[in-house]
Amino acid sequence: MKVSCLQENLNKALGIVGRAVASRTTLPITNNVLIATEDSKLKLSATNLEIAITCWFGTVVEEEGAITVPARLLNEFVSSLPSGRIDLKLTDHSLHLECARVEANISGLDAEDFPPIPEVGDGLTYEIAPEDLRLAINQVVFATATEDTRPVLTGVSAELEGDTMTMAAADGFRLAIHKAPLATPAKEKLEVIIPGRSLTELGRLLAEQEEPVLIAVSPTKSQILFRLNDVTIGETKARVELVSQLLQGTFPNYRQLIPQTYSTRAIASTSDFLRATRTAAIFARDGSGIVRLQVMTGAQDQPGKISISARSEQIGDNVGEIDAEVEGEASKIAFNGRYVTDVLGVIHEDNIALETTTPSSPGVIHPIGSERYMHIIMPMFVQW
Amino acid sequence: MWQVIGQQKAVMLMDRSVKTGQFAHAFLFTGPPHTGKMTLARNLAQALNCGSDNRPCNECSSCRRVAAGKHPDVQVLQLNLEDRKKVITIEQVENMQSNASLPPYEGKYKVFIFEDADKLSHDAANRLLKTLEEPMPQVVIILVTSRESDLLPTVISRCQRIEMPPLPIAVVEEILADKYGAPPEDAALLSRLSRGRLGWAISALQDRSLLETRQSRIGDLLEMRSASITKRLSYASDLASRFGKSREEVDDIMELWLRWWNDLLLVSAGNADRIVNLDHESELAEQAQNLTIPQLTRALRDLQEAGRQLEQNVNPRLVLEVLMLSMP
Repeated sequence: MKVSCLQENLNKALGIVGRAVASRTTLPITNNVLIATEDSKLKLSATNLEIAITCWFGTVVEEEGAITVPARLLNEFVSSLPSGRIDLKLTDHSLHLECARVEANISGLDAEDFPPIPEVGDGLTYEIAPEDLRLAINQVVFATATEDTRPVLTGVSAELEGDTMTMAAADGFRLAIHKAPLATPAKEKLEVIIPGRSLTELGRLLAEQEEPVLIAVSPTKSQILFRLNDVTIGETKARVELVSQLLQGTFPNYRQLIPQTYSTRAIASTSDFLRATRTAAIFARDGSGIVRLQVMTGAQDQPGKISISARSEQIGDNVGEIDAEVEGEASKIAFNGRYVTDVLGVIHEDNIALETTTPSSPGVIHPIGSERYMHIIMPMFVQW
Repeated sequence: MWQVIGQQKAVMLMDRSVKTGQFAHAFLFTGPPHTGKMTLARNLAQALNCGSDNRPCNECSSCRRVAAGKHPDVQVLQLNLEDRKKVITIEQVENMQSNASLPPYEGKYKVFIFEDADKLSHDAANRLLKTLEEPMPQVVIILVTSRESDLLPTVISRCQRIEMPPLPIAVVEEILADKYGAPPEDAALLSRLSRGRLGWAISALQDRSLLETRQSRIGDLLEMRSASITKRLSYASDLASRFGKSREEVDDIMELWLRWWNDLLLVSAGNADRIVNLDHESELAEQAQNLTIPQLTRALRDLQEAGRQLEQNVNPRLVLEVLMLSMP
C-alpha cells in the first residue's frame, strides 16, 4: 500500500471512525483501525462489535493494500503532525508514515484478522433528512435505560411506516416518543430496536449533512446501516457508514401507557420552566430528586401559575413560580427533577404543555407548535 | 472433522445435535483435566459457525479464527490473570450478558465458553442463572469444568451435562503409538501415567520436561525413604512453602506418591504387571521386599487423608510434616 493524503483529512477521518474503536474488549484487534485502499480512495474502519464506522475519502493511491494499526496511537500521532501532505506506506507488518520532516513506523496486525464489517445489502432501504433524524435522536435517546437488566430498554424502538419514523425510548420511569417524517415513503413497515449508544454516535456524525441519510436493514434484521454521503472532510465530501447491531427481543407496547385524557393542562414557557426546575433540583438532591409541581388556576381573567418546589430535611427548601395558561382544575404532582430538566433541555419550542390527571398518574409534556414529540414521566409519591 | 480423540459418546452427541440443528442452549462439559473438554468446546463453536457441509471443517476462515481465538462471536471467559482475581467476577458475567443481548456479529451463533466454570464466584454464578435458563436465540453457553462439585446445583441443572471421562489406558496407549508415533515404551509409560487423560499424555510426549520433573520428584521420594527425620521435616516445610504458591504442584507430587505406593502394593501382592511406573520396576521390586502389605495400605491411607486435609485448608506445613513422619 502506498497512498498520500492531507494531514487534516486523515485526522478528521480518524476522529470519525475512532468513535467506534473498542475500549475494553475481548478481541484485541478491535483496538485497531483498518486502513485499506478501495476504488482509489482510502477506507478507514473501526468496530467494537456493536457499532462499526467506515469512512471513505479521497486520496492519491499509488499502490493497493490493507493493514490494521492501533487506533489511539495513530490518532494521537496524526493529530500532532503539522498540516500538509502525509505519505503512508506499508512495509511487511508495519505502516510507515512521512509528513514534512517527521517519520514514523507503526507496527500493525494483519487486515485479514480484522472482523469483517457486516454487509447489510440493499434489502429494505429508507431515507430521512439528517436534521429530522438528529432531532429525533436528541429527543429520545436520553430516555433509554442504562442498566442491562432488560437489554431491550437500553435501545430505542424505531418504527418506519408510511411516511413517518416513530422512535421511542423508555427506562421504566419515563417514555419519550418522537415522530419524524421520512424523506421518501417507506415501501415496507419496519420495526427494530437500535442500541442507544449507536444512535448517540450517529447523532454526533449528523452535524453538517444536507443530503438524506440512507437507512438499510439486513434481511435477518440483525444489523442496521446508516449511510451519510456528504460528510465534509477537507475540501471534499466523504462517505461514512455506521453499522449497528440490533437488539433482539420485543419492545414493550408503550402505546397503552399514553394517557388518553387529562384534567389539567398548563402551558408555560419552556425556558422559565427549565430554570425553575433546575433551581428546585438543587434542593431536591438530598430528597431523592423529588420536585413538587402545583398547578394553580388563575382567579378570573388572571393567568394561572405553576409553583415548583423542593425541600430537604437537612438543607432547607425553595419555591419558585412561573406563569402558565391553565385549563381545567388545579392539580399537584411530584416528579424526579432530573427527568423534567432532561426533557425540557431537548425541546426547542418556546412553550410546552404539561398535562396531568391525578398525583399518581403519569404526566405528559408536549412542545406547543409541534405534534412530533411527546414525553411521559411517572410521578413520585409524596406526602403533600 | 471433530478434533477430539477418544470421547466417542460426547462427539457423536455433538455431531448429531449440530447436524439436526437441535441442541441445548447451555452445555456443561465435565470430566478430569486434559480429557478434551476445551477442544470439544472450541470444536462445537466452530461447528455452529462453520459454513461448510462437513461441520466443523477446520479450514474455512471462520473455523480458523475460532481456533486462534480471533472470532468476534466466540468468547472464552476465564480467570482474569491481570487482575490477579481468584474467581470469574460478576463484572465479567455482566459484560458477557450485555454482549449476549446483541445478535451474532458475523457468524450464526454467539458462543460463550467458560473455561474453569467452577471458578465462577457465587454471585457471578447466580447472575448467570437467568441467561443460562433462557438466553437469546442464537446464543450458546458452554461451561467447562473439572470440578463439577464446586458448581452450584442451580447452574448444573440448567445445562445439558456432557461427561468426558478418562479413556481406558489401552486406548490411550494405542492412540499415542498410532496417531502420534510414540515409541512403544513411551506409549506404555505415558498412557499409564496419564490415567486416561489423553491431553496430558500428548503434551508429555511433546514436552519432555514433564517427564523430567517426574523423574526428579521420584528421586526426591526415594531419597526421603532413607533420609533422617530432620531432612524429612525440612523437605516438608519446603513443600508447604511451595503449596502457598501453587497448590497444583503439591497436588501433583502427592498424586505421584500415591501412584508409587499403589505400585508397591501391587508388586507385593504379586500383580507387578499392572504397575504405572514401568520405568522403575527394579526399584519398586527392591522396596517392596522390605515392606509389608499393612504398612503399605497405611501409607496410602495417610496420603489420602493428607490430601483431604489440604483440601480443607488445614495448615499445610503441619499436614505435610505429619505425613513425612509417618512415611515408612
